[in-house]
Amino acid sequence: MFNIQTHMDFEGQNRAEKISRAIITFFGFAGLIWGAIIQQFSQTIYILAAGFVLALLITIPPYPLYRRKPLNWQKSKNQNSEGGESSKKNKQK
Amino acid sequence: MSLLKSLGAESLFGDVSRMDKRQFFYQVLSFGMIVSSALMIWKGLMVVTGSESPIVVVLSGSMEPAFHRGDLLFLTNYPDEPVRVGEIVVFKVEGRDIPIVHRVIKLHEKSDGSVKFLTKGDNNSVDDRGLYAPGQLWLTKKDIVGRARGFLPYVGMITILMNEYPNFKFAILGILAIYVLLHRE
Amino acid sequence: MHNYFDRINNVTSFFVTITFLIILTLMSSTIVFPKDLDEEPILYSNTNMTKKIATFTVVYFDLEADFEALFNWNVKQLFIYVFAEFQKSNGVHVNMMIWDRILRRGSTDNWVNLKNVPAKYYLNDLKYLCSSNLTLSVHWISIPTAGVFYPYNHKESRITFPLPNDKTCSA
Repeated sequence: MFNIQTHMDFEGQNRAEKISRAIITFFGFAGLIWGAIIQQFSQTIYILAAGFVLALLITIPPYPLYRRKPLNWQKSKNQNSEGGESSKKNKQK
Repeated sequence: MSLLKSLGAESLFGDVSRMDKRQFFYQVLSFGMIVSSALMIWKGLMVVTGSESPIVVVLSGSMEPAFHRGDLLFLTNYPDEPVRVGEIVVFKVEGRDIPIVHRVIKLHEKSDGSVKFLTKGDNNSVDDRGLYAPGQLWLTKKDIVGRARGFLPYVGMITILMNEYPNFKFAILGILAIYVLLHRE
Repeated sequence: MHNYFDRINNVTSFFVTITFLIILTLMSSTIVFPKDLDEEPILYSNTNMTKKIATFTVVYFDLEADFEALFNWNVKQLFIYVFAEFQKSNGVHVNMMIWDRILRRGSTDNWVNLKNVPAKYYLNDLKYLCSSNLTLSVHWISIPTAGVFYPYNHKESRITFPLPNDKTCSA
């Protein structure tokens, strides 16, 4: 059960960040305008909060959408421990 | 273990294992800088507003529906601005440490300029004489911490939570301290 | 952004920043809205009805004003009050609230129309209230949803009238 995949590739992370910011900003604007029209600030807050939840749902779990462009790691040159460790370190960053 | 790894804890402890003594002292110093900056900002606010406690959290429901528990109030206490009837003031009763946020309903002003006043919470049916120190019937300028000038809703909830559940406060402070001390930035 | 913690951290801090900006917008929008009534509130007192009950003096007054125009999305409530001022014979100037009401945004009775309403809070400095003048004025304070409490300068509506000089005064 704890085998949750956490991996998003680099392009995917970029995309996830952009999407989350776009969602929150859009809902923020929409909330502000709607709240100003009906003159109730509580509505603005609800709309913004809905945007936040949506952004979390869409960008936190690593959907296949964010794995479309995996980086091509070079194959390790030899099978000894040095080569294995350097490729492990790269993957962690 | 893999849950911790996914949460990023591994990178945190990885940073620690790569630290040497000099780096560690540097981290401690950075932490000290953060704490002293926060203190300077607070003291600076105290000077600018003239109040000993320029930001207070509303602790009771005695001013509902204007202020609820957990709202944040910004105060000023300039000596040349007279307190007027209807204004919201924060005062402390001698001997007790909790600030009380209520409205001024009565004011007596002597010809020499000295003022005494009476307060009442909007949600209370009687005035505050029961709250004052025994024998005290009026408040004077020196009991006032400041007059309410600005307001933010709900932001002070954290302070209330920390006061009511001290374990929660220590846990949060502990986690923050560890994170700042260990994170390499 | 490579693990859950970082992603949640990133999204949450952006959310907090946007929330802060929105609250700032709300606070600055207050400048646009009217902060004072269009007309002076009408305040009047029928001095024949001023009564004395035990050691208290009860004043009656009429008040008419429409506060609906003052509400906007950054006004949570208006606190309306009538207060009385008078001078005691020993030189002490007394200001005292005699009536108050809380008006909330969205409620239907924000047009205040009272006739011959007794004060909620009685004046109890009895012996100084004889043959002196009493001044009543109407004020209000608006409590914002978030932001600054605006200072006090509203269209004034003050009336001054003498208090009755009856037998309780000659003591």
